[in-house]
Amino acid sequence: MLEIRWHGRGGHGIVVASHILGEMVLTKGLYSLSIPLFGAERRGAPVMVVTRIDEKPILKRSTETNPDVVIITDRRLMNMVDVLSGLKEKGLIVINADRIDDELAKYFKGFKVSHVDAVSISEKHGLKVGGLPVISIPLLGAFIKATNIVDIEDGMNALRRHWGGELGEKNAIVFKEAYQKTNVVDLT
Amino acid sequence: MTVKEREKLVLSGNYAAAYAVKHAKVEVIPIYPITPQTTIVEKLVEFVENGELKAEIIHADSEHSAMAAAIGASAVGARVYTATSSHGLLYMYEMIWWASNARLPIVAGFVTRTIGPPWNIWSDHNDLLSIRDTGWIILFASNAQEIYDFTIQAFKIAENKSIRLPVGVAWDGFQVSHSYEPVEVLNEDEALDFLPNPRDIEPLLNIEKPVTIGNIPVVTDNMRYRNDMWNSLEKARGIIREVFMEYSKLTGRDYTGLIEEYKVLDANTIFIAIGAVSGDIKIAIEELRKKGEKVGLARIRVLRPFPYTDIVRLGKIANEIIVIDRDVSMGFGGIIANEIRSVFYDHYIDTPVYSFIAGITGNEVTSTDCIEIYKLVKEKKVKPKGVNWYYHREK
Repeated sequence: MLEIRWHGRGGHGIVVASHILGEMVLTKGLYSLSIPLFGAERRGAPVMVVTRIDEKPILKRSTETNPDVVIITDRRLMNMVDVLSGLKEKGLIVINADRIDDELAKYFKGFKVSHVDAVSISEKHGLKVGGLPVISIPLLGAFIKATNIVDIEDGMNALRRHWGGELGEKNAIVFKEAYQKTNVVDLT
Repeated sequence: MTVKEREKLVLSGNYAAAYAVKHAKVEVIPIYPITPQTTIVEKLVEFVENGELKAEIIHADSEHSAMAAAIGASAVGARVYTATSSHGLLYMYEMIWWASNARLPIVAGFVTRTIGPPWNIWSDHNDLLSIRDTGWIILFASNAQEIYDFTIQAFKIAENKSIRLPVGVAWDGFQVSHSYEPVEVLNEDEALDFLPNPRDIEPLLNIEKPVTIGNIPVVTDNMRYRNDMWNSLEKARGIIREVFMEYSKLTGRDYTGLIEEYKVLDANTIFIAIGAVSGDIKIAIEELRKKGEKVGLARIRVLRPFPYTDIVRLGKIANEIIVIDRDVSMGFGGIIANEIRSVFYDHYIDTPVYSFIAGITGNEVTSTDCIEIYKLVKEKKVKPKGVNWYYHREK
């Protein structure tokens, strides 16, 4: 089983992205379960989602995690939440960051890091919700780059199907560009 | 007949309910929002707005009014659905009794949530169990697929002429209601073929046959109404089994029992639980079986009518029963555990029942917790009477 823990803020779209990830892996015949861990009315506040992916139906619905991957939409969350809690040895971190500076490198020592400047890609293509650039969809690209769990084309098609029309195309383009611009750094 | 391949969608538990309501071609949907139920009715409004479902949405001013509107619509023979949670269910409570006492085949979704104060949106089952004595048939699902499947089947059960009672389909808030997972949905024509025609519901209110209802009766007649309702619920076990069997044949998914049984046949110890926690119990069972411990799980899918004969059979198989109650009857104990003890007493079964109150007010129950609970029983650190309050332990 692959366990992914998403850390974001209400409004960053991690619930939607985890839903779409489920649709992406379904094209490979894989089971998934994404459990959101937040209450009502949380725009801007730290929120979490746990996604589990497996070849067989997923039984575990409790939310204690030992993730293989953590996805972080905003580095400032690290001041508020222990984002690396329980992350497996040599696990993968996917983060919205244009570069891995000294602070991040120190913090992420021992792990693999997949990073991309999610904000600027969504800004460039005008992918916004409520006036703010979408962060989670480019990070989905960065996640796929590091894990290859689905082909980039299958991922784009899942996004097109999910949103339909022009919005689907825009999401697919942002996803692809993020995939291409993602850097994977090994800090193990 | 060639069967069109069925669609597999990634849905939250609540969306799975909304798809089932759409496929059942429900005609009237009175709604009032409350977390964690709201996304069901949001999705249904979306279906109606974009023309995928031709239903009348009634935006009620409260849950009490929503159920009152459901009662009115059902009384004239419409197929009706509504949904609520926690405080909404409590606010609806008077009308819940009205719906069952008037024998109206309404179907409702109940997404379980802790009752405040303090304010708490996470799951426990005390809200749902407050309606256990009302005459509603209650099904409890443990995942999104089962929510879809139960909601479809609920209409067939409710509208059966020998039953004619409202059916509630319940599931855990957030852990199931807001979690996304793959769900295979029926083709719309398959769903319609499976379900009766709502025009076969004999309307309680019919302009051709005017009657007075709800007026003060002769009290012996009133007692007969209750007795008749009791008899219908007794009959309902068989009818639910028949509906489940027919649905299993249609879908290939196993709905053969009022209880889902997991490795019980050779089990010395059987866990009994309802809802989402059953998945983590199964993981614990796998761990324990690797060490040679013979453990199984019985997950109650039909809470009302209570599955007596299955419980009796399990009591005869097991040396001991462990019940995890995500509820508590203050001043008495675990509701499910005490119902099981009562069934055992009725049938001269002396299998000890260990009662654990766990996972209430939204607390976790992990597989590690279940193993810990098993150890407490095996090491005789707890007694098979009264209750044990079990708090989740961090790994």
